[in-house]
Amino acid sequence: MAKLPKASIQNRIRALRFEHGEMTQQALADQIGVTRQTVNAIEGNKYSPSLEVAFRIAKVFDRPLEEVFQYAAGEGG
Amino acid sequence: MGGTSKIFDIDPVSKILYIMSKKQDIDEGPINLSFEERSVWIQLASLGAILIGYGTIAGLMLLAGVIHIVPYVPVFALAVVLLIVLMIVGHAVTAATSRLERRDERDKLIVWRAESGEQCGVGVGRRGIRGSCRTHLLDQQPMDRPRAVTLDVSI
Repeated sequence: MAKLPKASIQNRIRALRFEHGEMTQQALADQIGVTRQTVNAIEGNKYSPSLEVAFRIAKVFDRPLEEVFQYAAGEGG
Repeated sequence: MGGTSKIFDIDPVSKILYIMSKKQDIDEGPINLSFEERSVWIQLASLGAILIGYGTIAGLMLLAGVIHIVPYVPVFALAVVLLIVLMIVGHAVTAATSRLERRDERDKLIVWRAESGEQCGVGVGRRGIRGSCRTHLLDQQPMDRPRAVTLDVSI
């Protein structure tokens, strides 16, 4: 069986927070209904959010989803 | 450039300000564990401490020549009570010192993973006990086997 390439979802939430008046992680977390720990984990690419949360984040920043999150296939993919 | 962040797409001045703003997250305070994460760690630590304590006492009893199961029952009961007390106290302290926050999707994932690991541990332990009972059965005299079989099935 062929081995699936390692893939990850990158994001630019931190940059977008900066562009939105240096929004804090807590403020973003409150707006999308998750904990600050979750926002931190998403920003650090340690956790991939559900589609619903991803859309909520994109809505907060008023950007299309693909501008906030990027799918990056790893080497060998 | 799929693997890199697009943060450096912004203009140079913004880039400098952005880098300077890294202090912002520090000002927000340290990233503490969420209540669910703490809860899982409390359970793991409590279980580990009690398991080590019970194992030590039971091991010493076994070394002292106690081979009947009855003297181990109060020790086991005490271990269970201590485990419950430790978990209650741990969760109470955590709840009192944590920020009030609702459980989100990541917390649910943490709990699911913890439960999955817990089930694996219980499964391995149960198979271990059954295995040791079967081994014990083979050492029994034929007259003793029916009682031992009952013990095995009850587990």
